[in-house]
Amino acid sequence: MVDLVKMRASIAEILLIPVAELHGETRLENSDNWDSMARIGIVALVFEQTGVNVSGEEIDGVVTVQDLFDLIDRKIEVAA
Amino acid sequence: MSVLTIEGVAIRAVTAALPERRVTEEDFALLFGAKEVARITKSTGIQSIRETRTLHTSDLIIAACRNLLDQGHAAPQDIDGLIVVTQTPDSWVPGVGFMVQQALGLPQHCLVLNVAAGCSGYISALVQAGALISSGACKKILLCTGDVTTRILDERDRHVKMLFGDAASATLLEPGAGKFEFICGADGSGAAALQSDITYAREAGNHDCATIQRLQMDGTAVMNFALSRVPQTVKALLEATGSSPAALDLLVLHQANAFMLNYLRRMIGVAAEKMPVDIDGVGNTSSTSIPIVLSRHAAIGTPQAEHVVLCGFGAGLSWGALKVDLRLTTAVAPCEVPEKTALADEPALAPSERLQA
Repeated sequence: MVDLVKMRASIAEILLIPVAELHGETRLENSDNWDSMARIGIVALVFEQTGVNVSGEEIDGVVTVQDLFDLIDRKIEVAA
Repeated sequence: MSVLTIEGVAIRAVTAALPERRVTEEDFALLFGAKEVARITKSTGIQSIRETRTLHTSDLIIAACRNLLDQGHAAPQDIDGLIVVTQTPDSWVPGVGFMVQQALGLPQHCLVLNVAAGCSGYISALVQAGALISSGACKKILLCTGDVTTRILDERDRHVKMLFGDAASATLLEPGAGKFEFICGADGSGAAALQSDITYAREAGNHDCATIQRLQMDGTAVMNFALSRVPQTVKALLEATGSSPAALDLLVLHQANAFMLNYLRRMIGVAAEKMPVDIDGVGNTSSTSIPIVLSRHAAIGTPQAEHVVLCGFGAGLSWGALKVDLRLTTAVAPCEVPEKTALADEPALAPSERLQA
């Protein structure tokens, strides 16, 4: 069972921003912390929660925080 | 995944050698800024590394071997097998093994094997050594790993500069009552995930015929690989050998970085006290990371080291997990190796290059 609350908190932790500031329209490229380390963090987080890999190409396609949520949603569906 | 067994082999002793020179959090802060360094070290668990500017891989390996042989477990003339694992050889021809053989005064009938392997190399070399001893081909094997990986990094890339360190190890194997139970695997389709290419020169008459490119790492691909393969392999080995994470005394994974290790530990389901994270102060030392942990862990050589699983994974992509009894293994604390010549106390990058990576 995917823990969405934990996942949201983990994303905020990876980006080093408060959970309350995790808005869908936020562009990740504007975050100083959206780098290769953050991308690896997302890959690990999604795999641990869903057992499904996120590829580098899929991560490259993520522009906003909402894109990231959508990607995770798709992975949860794959895992279900 | 099939589990294979090699019987009649024992790991007698293990040790390591570390360059004396440290690159600290303060040094990194000069290069990349204190805030960024704090963020990275919090994730990787690596606040400082060992880095040599003047030592070759062979220097570190020879120091590790002498540190081990000085304990009296074997004399150089008794060694009839030498395996050297490295991806940063001193020279293209011949392999580092021949330099080590000469420096240690190993006999001429000694079988010398040079193995090009990375983070899974300690496991695959243990399998090689175990097979040679079990077959009777060799009686005493020195298994050495060593790399000066910092020499092939992009100094301006903070994610690799603050990750990898230089080190070497030596392990003595001989006939014994023990056995190796193991799973090894490889997937060459992932070769580009960790790669250092060679570009051969085209110009006739050029003295330098080839250039080695800096280590390229696709962190996302490596993470996906580790998360998919490592828990699966360790669990398969435990299941096939009638064991479980709870029954293990020790699980020693390749020390890639603390972030990855914590994820792998949770996925395998092993208690934190049974899975050491011993990476701070040395960095990711490729095939040497597992023997460094063994050489510094208090349980080695005690009844608390009966059920030990070692697992390496990395370049290739390749992986291997091996179950072994280390109750009679002597852990020799790593030695430190000074630089060959005095160094100026300066950061690796020129001021104009700092903070731009």
